Amino acid sequence: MSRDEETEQRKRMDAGSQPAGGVLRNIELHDEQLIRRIASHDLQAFDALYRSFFPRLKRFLDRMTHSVTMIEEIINDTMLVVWQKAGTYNGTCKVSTWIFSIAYRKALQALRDVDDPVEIDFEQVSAETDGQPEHEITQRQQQRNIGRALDALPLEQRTVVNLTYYHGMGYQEIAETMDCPVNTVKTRMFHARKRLKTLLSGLMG
Amino acid sequence: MNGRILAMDKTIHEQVQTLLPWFVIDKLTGEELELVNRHLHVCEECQSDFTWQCKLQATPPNDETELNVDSAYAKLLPRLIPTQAKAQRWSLSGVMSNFWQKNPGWIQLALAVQFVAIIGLTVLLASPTGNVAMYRALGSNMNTTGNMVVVFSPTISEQELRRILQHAGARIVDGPTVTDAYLLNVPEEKLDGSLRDLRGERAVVLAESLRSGGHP
Repeated sequence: MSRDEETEQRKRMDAGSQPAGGVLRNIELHDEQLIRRIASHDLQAFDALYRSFFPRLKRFLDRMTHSVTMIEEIINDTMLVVWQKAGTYNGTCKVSTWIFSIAYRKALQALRDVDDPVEIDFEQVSAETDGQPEHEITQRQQQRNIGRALDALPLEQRTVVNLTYYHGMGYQEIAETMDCPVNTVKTRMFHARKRLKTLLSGLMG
Repeated sequence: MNGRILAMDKTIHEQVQTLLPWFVIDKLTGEELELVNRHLHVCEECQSDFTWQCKLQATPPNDETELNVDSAYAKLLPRLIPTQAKAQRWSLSGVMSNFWQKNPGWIQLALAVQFVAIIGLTVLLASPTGNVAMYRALGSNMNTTGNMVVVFSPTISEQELRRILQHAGARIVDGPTVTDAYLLNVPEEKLDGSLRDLRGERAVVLAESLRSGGHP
């Protein structure tokens, strides 16, 4: 895969869509090479990895905390750990899983005693779209509704939904990222879907 | 018999319901993939759920925060530099000890004599001559802590770089790093003005304050 193709695939990942399996494997191999170079304190490799993960971590953390300052601090704290501990990465999980698990722990530390599920008045959301033909409910409104519904979920359920649908992670990867059993991931997803269906009923067809 | 089949179907339905999100994002393989594929053909509830989840996945929520990667990276950079300097010191000491162990005795002796000669000459040159005020080490009585990070255009000339630094009242504390960033120091009271001056220069790609609470 050429550098241009890889850049294009990364842009798609940044936007939330998942590339095909072979391409994904190439990106993973490239990430592993970067980590090996970072372990020898190669700042150029770190620069590349930082810029590659920044949009993904931002999207992930955006759903955990809506504070710009906090997101930037968590990303930098996470990447500082990557810089300092790259030598301890042993390849038993993907580089992305390793980095996301650090970011998740850092975010939990930052959010401790701060994060409460947001109480959303969904009647108000519904009222904004009630009575309108379905085609007039724009994609943007749908995205806003989904964002607000996600914010109403408990943090753990929100994280599982976010990592699954918008970061393309399998249940095993999510379990590693969140440091919990696979069955816990599945249960959280089950309850999250149930709640999302109620919150978004009539808004998503 | 029918009751048992129904119970089995119910179990399969529940299993598929659990696996469906990862079927939607194409993360299932082997038996799990086959199970979901088979069941989806016969279960309307799961088909409808599958469609709903596909819509959910295709509509990622809006990003609600604006963040600039360059500005965030500039804030992290000074935290990396001390670690990098330490690593370089370690590797230098490693090279020295390797050299010392691997070379024959006469080379070690020659080096030791040379070292003593250098020290002697240094002492001679550095001894006071009665005109002490004429000599002052660069950096003495100066604040050596960087409070801003700057990246210059790769094509900038040395003369232009000097002019920009003098105009902004800034001194180089560290750099260039591998990413061509320089750590600068300017008097705290002039920081905002210097930042404005630097950002106004065409040859400056990035100039960020490292003061906590500083605005990009």
